Amino acid sequence: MKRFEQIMIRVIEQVFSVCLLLMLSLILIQVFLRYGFNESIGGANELATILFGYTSALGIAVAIARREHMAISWFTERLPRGARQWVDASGLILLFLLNIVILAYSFRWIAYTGSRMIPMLQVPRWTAQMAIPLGTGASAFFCFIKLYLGVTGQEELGVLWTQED
Amino acid sequence: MGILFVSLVILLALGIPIAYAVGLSSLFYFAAYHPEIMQILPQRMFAGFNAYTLIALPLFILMGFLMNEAGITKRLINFCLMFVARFRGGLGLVNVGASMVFGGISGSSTSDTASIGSILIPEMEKRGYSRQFAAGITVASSTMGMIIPPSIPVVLYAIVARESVGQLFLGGLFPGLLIGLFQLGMVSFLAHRQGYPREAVRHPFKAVAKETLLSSYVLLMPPLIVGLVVFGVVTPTESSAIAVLYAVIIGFAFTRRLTLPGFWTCVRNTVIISSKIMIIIALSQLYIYVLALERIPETLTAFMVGLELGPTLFMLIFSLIVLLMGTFIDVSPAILLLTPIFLPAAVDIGISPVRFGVVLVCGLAVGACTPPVGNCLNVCSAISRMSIGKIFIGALPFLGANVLIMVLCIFFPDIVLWLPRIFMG
Repeated sequence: MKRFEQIMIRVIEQVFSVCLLLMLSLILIQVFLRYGFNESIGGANELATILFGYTSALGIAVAIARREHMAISWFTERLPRGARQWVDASGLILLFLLNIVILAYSFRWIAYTGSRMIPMLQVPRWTAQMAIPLGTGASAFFCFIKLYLGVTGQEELGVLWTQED
Repeated sequence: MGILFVSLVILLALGIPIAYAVGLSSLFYFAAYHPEIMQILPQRMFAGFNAYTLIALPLFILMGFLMNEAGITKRLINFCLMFVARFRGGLGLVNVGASMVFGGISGSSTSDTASIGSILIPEMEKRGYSRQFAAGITVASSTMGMIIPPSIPVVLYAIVARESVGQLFLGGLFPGLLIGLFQLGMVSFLAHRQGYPREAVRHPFKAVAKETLLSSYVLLMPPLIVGLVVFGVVTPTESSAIAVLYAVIIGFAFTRRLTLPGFWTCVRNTVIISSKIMIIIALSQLYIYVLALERIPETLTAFMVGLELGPTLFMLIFSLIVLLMGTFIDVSPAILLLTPIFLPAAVDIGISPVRFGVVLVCGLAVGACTPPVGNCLNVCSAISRMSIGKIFIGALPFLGANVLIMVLCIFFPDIVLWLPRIFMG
């Protein structure tokens, strides 16, 4: 399971890195075309925004796997080890539930509104909206993996989330 | 409504990541009072991602990473050494000077603390400065990274407040420089009192000119980024993309310290760091929706207007709240939590959103250096191997400069507003 998690993280990291570079290239090409040739690519900004949505959604999931999300750990780091494990496990369950709730509602939302077109790109909105179920699904998956690894003793529970920015 | 705030405080205390604490407390609110509109959860979250301007955030972060990887810190320190090292407390002055320029390049206080601190703290110790002084000045001077443009928290505030990024960049420039000048003055004062050394470096004009020329590509970057936005040549997002390209060229062609694996690591770390901010933006959309549903901003505005506080008193009270909140909550979530509540009231009282934003960021910059939750303190603690309490005490005299400038911005709004007025009308 641990190895599977590592593979998943690596794959997702490659995907979001490529998305970021594509987004960057699109923006630079737009500027170059505008000032060099007085031209522009129709829908480039919308495409960059869609890529940004996927980049962020996937990055959020990896940040869960890497315990990188910002948290206030001042209180929890003062708890005894056993209590900290309980608090951490409860936190992971809550994160899992929140992501599952949003995931469940996102399918209904996409079913209602996803077939509308994005004006400049002339593609259905679900192409952009899918970032939400993808991101929350991956986040829920990593919460579950963390919990599983913690409960089975393959990874430590009670790990603090980072305070870093 | 109580469920939102009570559950938020409990979840934060339990160490749940801030973004998810905000999302969960909003979820509890919806489940308890408005289960019929739960379907807005993904839609509001999506609204948080779906903004072209937001792309500027990861790109500014990437630019900072790339410039760091390109090895500009050493060059900046060498550049500052030529001008201020000959004065008493020279290395302290170099620390502040380098932070003033570095802040304009990286846009982040934590990377400023890490890069400059790792070089200058050991060097200052070797030259007889107390470790507490060296760590304190490193932490305090790094706060300029949040205020001097281009600044990541300022971009974030501009997005939340729907204000012009260019105006906010210009608004933060003068207060940021003033903080730097006050900190330079404080270093000189303390250096004289404690007898810190001067550095025996005299540079002939030719050497100064050569070093300036060599550093010019680094020094040109902040005015280039800000200028492009302020003069409307490109949008903030495009300016951030140009800045990344500039950093790539510097790293690969000029300093030649940037490698492909290093570049790839920068890209990966950028996504992780920007995602940590993006999840807060996305889930705070739920919180903002609840606030709007409960008419909290309107109620607060009516209350504040009823008190007839006036802009100055309002801003003083607000700055106290910011300083207090900054000690517990990190900069990005604090901007996202405070702005939607207080900005409508501030605008109604007649306070410019630019002034409000600059005071907010100045206050939160102090918060980044105060225990128990202070990112810059944590980074500096790891570098200097000192407790955050001791570093904080060392930083206090210099943080006084930040608080003083914040108060000056409250009493004299023109400190913030004159540059945006001159350049952007």
